[in-house]
Formats: sequence, structure tokens, C-alpha cells
Amino acid sequence: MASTADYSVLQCIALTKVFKDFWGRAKVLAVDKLDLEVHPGEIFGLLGPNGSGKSTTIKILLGLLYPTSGSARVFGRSPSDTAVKARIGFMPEESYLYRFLNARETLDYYGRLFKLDRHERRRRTEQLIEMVGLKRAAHRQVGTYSKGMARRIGLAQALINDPDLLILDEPTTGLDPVGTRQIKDVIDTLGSRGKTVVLCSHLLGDVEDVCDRVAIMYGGKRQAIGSVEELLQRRDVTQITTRELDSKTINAVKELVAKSGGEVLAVEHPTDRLESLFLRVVGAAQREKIETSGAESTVGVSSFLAGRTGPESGITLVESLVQAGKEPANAAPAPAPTTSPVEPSVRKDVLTSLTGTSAPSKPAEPVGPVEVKLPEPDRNVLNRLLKPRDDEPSS
Amino acid sequence: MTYDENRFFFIMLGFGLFMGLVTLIYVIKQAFGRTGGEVGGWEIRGAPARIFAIARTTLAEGMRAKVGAGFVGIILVAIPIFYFTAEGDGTIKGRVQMFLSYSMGFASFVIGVLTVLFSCRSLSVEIASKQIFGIASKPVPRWQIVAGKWMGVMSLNVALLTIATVAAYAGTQGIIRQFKSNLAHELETYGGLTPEQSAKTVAALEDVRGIGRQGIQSPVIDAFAKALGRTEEQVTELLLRLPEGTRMNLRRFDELRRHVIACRAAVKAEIPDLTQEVRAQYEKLRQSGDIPEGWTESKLLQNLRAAALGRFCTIPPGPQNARQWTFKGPKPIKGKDVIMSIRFKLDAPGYVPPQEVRGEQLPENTLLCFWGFGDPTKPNYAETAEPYPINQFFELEMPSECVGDDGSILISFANADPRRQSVSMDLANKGLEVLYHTGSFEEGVLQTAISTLIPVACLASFGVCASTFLTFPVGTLVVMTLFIISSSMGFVADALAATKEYAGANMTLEWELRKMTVDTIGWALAIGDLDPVSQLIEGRAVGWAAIMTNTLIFVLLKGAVVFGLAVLIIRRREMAAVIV
Repeated sequence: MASTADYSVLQCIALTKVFKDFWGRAKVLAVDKLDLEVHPGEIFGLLGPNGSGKSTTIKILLGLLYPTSGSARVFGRSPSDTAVKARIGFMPEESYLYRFLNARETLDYYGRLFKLDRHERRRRTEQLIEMVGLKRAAHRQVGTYSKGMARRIGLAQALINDPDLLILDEPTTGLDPVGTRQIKDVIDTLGSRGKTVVLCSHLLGDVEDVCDRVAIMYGGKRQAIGSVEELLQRRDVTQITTRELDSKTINAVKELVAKSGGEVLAVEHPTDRLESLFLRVVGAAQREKIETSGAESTVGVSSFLAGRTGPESGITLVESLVQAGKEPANAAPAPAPTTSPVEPSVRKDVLTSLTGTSAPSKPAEPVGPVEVKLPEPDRNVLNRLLKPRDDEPSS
Repeated sequence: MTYDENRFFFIMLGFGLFMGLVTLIYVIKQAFGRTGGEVGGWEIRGAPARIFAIARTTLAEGMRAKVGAGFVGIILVAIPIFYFTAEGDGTIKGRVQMFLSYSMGFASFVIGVLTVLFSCRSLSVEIASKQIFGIASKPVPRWQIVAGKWMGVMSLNVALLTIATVAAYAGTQGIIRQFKSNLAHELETYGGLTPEQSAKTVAALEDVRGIGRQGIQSPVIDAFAKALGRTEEQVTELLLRLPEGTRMNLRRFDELRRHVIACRAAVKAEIPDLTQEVRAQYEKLRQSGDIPEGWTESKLLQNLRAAALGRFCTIPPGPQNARQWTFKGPKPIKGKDVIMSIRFKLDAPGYVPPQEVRGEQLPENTLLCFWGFGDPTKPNYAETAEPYPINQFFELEMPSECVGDDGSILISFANADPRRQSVSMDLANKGLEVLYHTGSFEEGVLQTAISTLIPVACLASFGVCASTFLTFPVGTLVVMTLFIISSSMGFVADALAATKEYAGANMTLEWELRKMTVDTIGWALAIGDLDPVSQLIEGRAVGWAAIMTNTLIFVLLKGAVVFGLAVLIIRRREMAAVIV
């Protein structure tokens, strides 16, 4: 996904930010000579404990703070340049919204700030509201929303301009697993469309799932940077995942490993991830049309974000709700995909069926249940299985 | 110099200068103290849409929040209370004037307070609650944020003022309708008229034409006679059967129509150029060495001019001291139905006792004066001589035919009172004016509403500017103080002017400093000079020219300077700054 390019979307050179007291005395060194570069199409994670300077860095990159020294560039220009902000979507760490506006008014307002025409504003507003599952609460004032619902509308406002660069500051804070999954879907989708995403979080699991590259900050300084694979790879352990094996086969494998001088450390059945279980349960409740006054659980992204246009796009969101929690055992074969080659993949199973049924050439027909994908095996392990290890002779 | 004698003045002056310097340094520090700042953002394309969007959201917040709704509620409760409680002097004219004065005055005060609160919170609260991140991270130049907030505040003001103005206008019409209804009832009860006749008679009130006079000369009688098909004597007899209060109100209603429910322009007498006369006196004093010690040239010239103007405005008794003034203004419309009048105030010191002259009683505190309207050599010249009350404003109607072909009006005056009392009129201010109708009452109300908004627009600029670098409570305190001072600027200016006059003859520097201070404060803080409500209750048009001038001064000059300062600060300001 990450691609090397001639220029950087984000660039910090010796970026330093010092907060001062009323009398101008330096009190807090929030960011200390930070060097950072984010390339186009990259999903970049900025990690660090509280107070490590992540949010300050992001605020400098948004022009909300000015650097004390060093420089920051966004799309090759100063972050304080108003024009550059047209390409940025920003979801702040908390949803600082206008309490007295409802969801539609909120998105319409932000759409106006991006000079979107009325038709486009309306289209995107409706799609985003549907995407974040606030259709039923769209008429309610944002001030009455729960924290999670406010986060959802916060996400929606960040996407109203279909940004080239999406900056997410602690995006999953306050969100339920469905919302968290949705954020990840959005990140995946935008990434697959060549957009750049900068994710700032201390929830390492979220970052690990979606990021191509991460930087770890502490004390305002960059402590580590690299691809997720590079940073997480454990070269001293090998993991093989197979279909269920009987004890005889396992013993044979153990013997084989022992013969080759290795050691089997553990043999166990992998457990499902809690996130997948949660999505299945909520999906089942959704299918049974259980009423909720809160956010509806949607999975999928708005068609304009996925690069689709046309009136069919709204259907896909609703359908994806049903598909999200379907048990694999009951899964019927998905309709033959008619996806265009440029169609990005959010979750391949869902999106394949979505695009297949919603193509303008086909009448809208009910989409059959789609199998929810089980958690994927560790890609690092797969890679290592497919590729010879560096320390082994190639066969 | 006399520092010891004026220690308090110099201490206060020093304190004021110090505070001004501190404020200036703080503002400059806020504006330029940090590296960085917004880059670009001066494009106009798309600006109106964004400004409108921000304004709309600000307005929506204002209306939906308790603040906006609360202020609307206050106005909607207060105006009906004024409707039922405003009595004035007990006449229909007094009631309408008091109702208009209370309702529009209260509305403008409430709107002023709302402006202070709403503008001071506009950006400061958004910055404190970090809502500003949502706008500042979008491609919105910061000047557009400031403009949007200002426009949002003004939109709320316009909405509120519209509600108040419509309510005040409706209330005025309600009082008049109620008066007419009562009159119709009394014409039936006491005058023995049928309901149709009384309705016709009441309707005829709107058709009264000609110069308003009292008693049997009143044009109301003529209008009633035509409506009822009766003679003037019969109508007089009919009116005499009505209660005294009703007859008084009939007269007052006619006055109301002419002098309040109207939109009139006012022109003042031309003041001659006194420069040469004053300069000659100064030279004479200088040559004779009679200039008081320590007096500067400017102070002496100012005093000499005031004395010369006083002589020009003072009319000693006797026909030999008669004066003639020329009034020039926008050319008034001439015609039989056009109502014109002079409004004057005869300033006479002390008590004037009653006196009998040739069998006629001259009442106390009146002066027998002679007024001539128009060129005495022309056939359309008219004159009148009557005793007029002193030390209070009086309106005397005059024929519009006396206006010269070039639009100028000659007014002659003689103090013919046998009690030998000198009289003066403040010609430089409103001591003598010619008033003539230029439009409808509705136009006058509209001009009043617009004029109310002009200083408020300036105040909103101050509030929004304060909200760019001050917290909501501090900003409110500062701008509310400014609002209160400027609202009472007339009083403050008088007080300051009095202290200016108090300065002794030999305190040159102090006198100059006082003058400079008073003039500066007066100019900078005066945001309520127009006083449109007073104009409205006197049936005066604020005038589109005055509106344009004041818009230029308050909005495009003072307001724009403050707006520019706000933009300068906010472009430099870090929206996510943390003071540790």
C-alpha cells in the first residue's frame, strides 16, 4: 500500500514546540526536534503514551499551533496555508461540535466550509450519516448524543470533503467495536484509493491492524520509526497454522521439528478475536430488527469515499449492515461479483457483494448472506512461510 | 505649572496613559508575539458562502440556545407591558410617544446587551471549548471566521430588532385603533350620531388638511363637517357635547398625526461665518494687551466665538431687534396638504409674571413673539403674533407656500413682549428648526431601526475583537463597560466638558490636555450619538444621508479598524495554544 514518492505528504524537520507561561517563559517542551516524513498513500501511525507530543504534532500539522522552531510541511506547503486545508480531513481527539445543531446541519455546515455545492453536500451528508449509523438520530441535536455517537459524527465531518489526507487523533476513543471496525474500514478504503492517513493513537491494536508505518514518540522525540512488519517481526519464532490436526500428526510434526534441531514451544487452537464475536452478535441483532435509540451498527463506507458515484451507493450501506454479522455456517454463496477493477476493497466479502448487487445495470435485489471473514492469520507468519528466511539457504 | 493644585488630574491622566500603554503592549504582543501565523487566505472567491455558513450557524446557536430565546422572550413580554402601562401625559399623543420611547428604547438597550454578550462569546467560547478546531482546520481564512461571527451576531440583532420594531409598530397602531374606537363610541353616546355617522367622522380624522390650529379654527372641524354634511357651527356644537378629555384628545390626535406619526426632515438656521469678527476682536485684545495671562490663542478664540454666537442667538426685546434667519436644506415639497412647522425653544432666565396688555392677558412664563414666514416682499408671506411658552419646545405650523423658489425659507422673529425680557434660541443645536414631512411614519420607523443597528454593528466589532484574545468574562466586562459609557456619552461628555470649563485661566497645558482627552474619548466612545428613538417620538426622520454618514463613521471606519485588529490578532493566534 505504501508507495515511495518523490514528495512527502507530511514532512517535519527538526520540529520543535515549546509551550510558555503567561510571561513568555518556556515551560513545556512538547515536541523536540522531530523529523518525520509521510508518503502519499501511506497509512501512518503516530504512537506514544499520553503527553508524548503526538497531538501537539498533529495540531502543528493542521495549523492550529505554530512551531517554535523547525518546520512542518503538508503537501509541500506550510500547514498555516489555508489552501492546503482543503485536502485535509481532521477528526479531533474529542468531538467538538455545535451542541444545538443536528447531525445533518452539522455536516451541511462543514460541507459549506469546503464550498461543496448544494447537491453534493446533500448527497455526502446523507451517505455519511448512513455510514456512521446515525440516520435515525439525524434530527437530534448533537448535544444530546452519547460520546460514541458524537465520535461518529466527528468522523463523518472529517470525511465530508473526501480528503486526500485524513488525520485522526485518537479516533477509536469512545467508540464501540463496530465503530472501531468502521474507522478501520474507512482507513483501509482511503488507503486503497491512494489517500494518506495519519493515525494518532495509544491503542496499539488499532494501529497494528491498519498502519503501514508507525513512529513511536516519547518525551516529544521520535523513539522509533518503520513499517509495522519491520518493527513487529519476531525472527526467533516460527508459527505454522493448519486445519485441525490429530494428535498423531502433531506428534509427527514435533518429532520432525526436534530432528531438525528446533523446539516446539506450543501447540494450541487459536481463539477467535473478541471483535469478530462482537460484530457477529450485533449483526444478528440487526437482522432481527431490534430497535435502538443510539447509533445503528453499520459497516462499510460511503460510496463517494470508496470512489463510487451514482444513485446506487446508498443501498450498499444498508446491505452491509446485514452482512456484517452473518454466521459463516449459514453463509450462502455470494452473488457473482461484477465489481469494476478500480473498486476498492473495504472488507472484500462485503464490498464484493455490495458492488455486485448495486451496479446500475442490475436491478436491486436482496443480497444473500455473506460470510463474515474469520480473523486473518498473522501476515508476518504467512510471509515467512511463503518466503525463505534470511538466515536459511534458499531452496 | 500648577501641579500641586491639580495633582488629582495629573495622577488620573498618568494612570490612564499607563493603562493605555499596557493595553497597547498586550495587544501588540498578542498580535506579533509568536512566530508563525496564517499564510495567505486573502482570496475573496467563495468568501460570502463561508461567511454566510458561519453566520448561519452562529445565528442558529444563538436562537436555539437559551440566550437568544431569552432575549426574544424579554422583548415580547416587555412590549405588551409597555402597551398597557404607558400613559404619558394622559393624552393619546403622550401615550403613543411614551410607548414608542419605552418599547424602542428598551429594545435598543436589550439588543446592546445581547450584542455585548453574544459577540464576546462568539470566538472566545469556541476557542475555550475547542469547537474552533472544526473551523480552523478547514480551508476557511481566519478573517472569514471573524466576519462570519460578526455577521452571525448582527443577524441575531436584526432578527431581534425586527421582532421589537414590528411589535412597537403594532402597539402604536393598536393604541390609535383603540382611541378611534373609543371616540366612535363617545360620538354615538354623547353626540347622538349613528354608528355609520360616527364611523365616517372617525375616518375623517385621516383626511384633516391645512395648518393645525386650536379651538374653532382647527381643521378637524372642517373635516368633520365635510364627513357629516353639516356646518362648522353644528360640528362645533357636537364637539362641545363630548367630554373635555375627548375634545383634548381630538386635538392631541391631530397633533399626533402631524408631529409624531410622521417622518419629517429638520433644517437649522444658517449660522453666519463669525471668523472675521472673532479674529478682529482677538487682534484688538492682543494689541491692547488685555489677553488674560496664560490663555492660549485657541482657547481665547474659542471663547470669543462662543460669545459672538451667543449674541447672534439672543434677541433683546423690541421690534428694532428683530431677526431674520435663512433655512436651507433639501428642497421641501410645496402644496396645500404639506405640513410644515417651526419648532423652537425660547430660553429666558427667571420667572416671567403674567401681564395684561390692551385687555388681553399675557400668561406667566410666556413671551409675546412675532413670527414671519417667507419673504415679506412676496404675496405668500405669512405672519403671526402670540404669547409662546418659555423654556420648553413648541411647534408652530406654517404654510408651505412661504418656501422660496430655491427651497430656502426665510423666518423673521421679533421679541414683542412688553415685559422687556431678553430671549435666546440655541440656533446651533435644536433651538430653532423648520420641520417638514418627507415620508411616512413607516419610513421613519424603518430609519429608526436601521439607525439603532449602526452603533450596535460597531459594538459587535468591539465584542468580536475582544473575543479573539480575551476570555468570555473578561471580554464581556471590558465591552460592557464600553457600552455603558458610550450609551451615557451625552452625560459623560457634559461632565467632561464641565471639567474642561472648570480649568482656571492660567492652566494652559492642563486646559489643552483636558480638551484633547474629552474630544478623544468623545469621538472614540460615542456610539450612541444618533439617538434615533428620540427622533422617532418627535416624528423626525433620521434621514438616509445621516444613516449613510453614520454607517461610514461607525461601521466602515471605527468598526472596520476594530475588525482589522481582530483579524490581525486571530491570524497570529494559536487556536490550540496551552498556557502552562
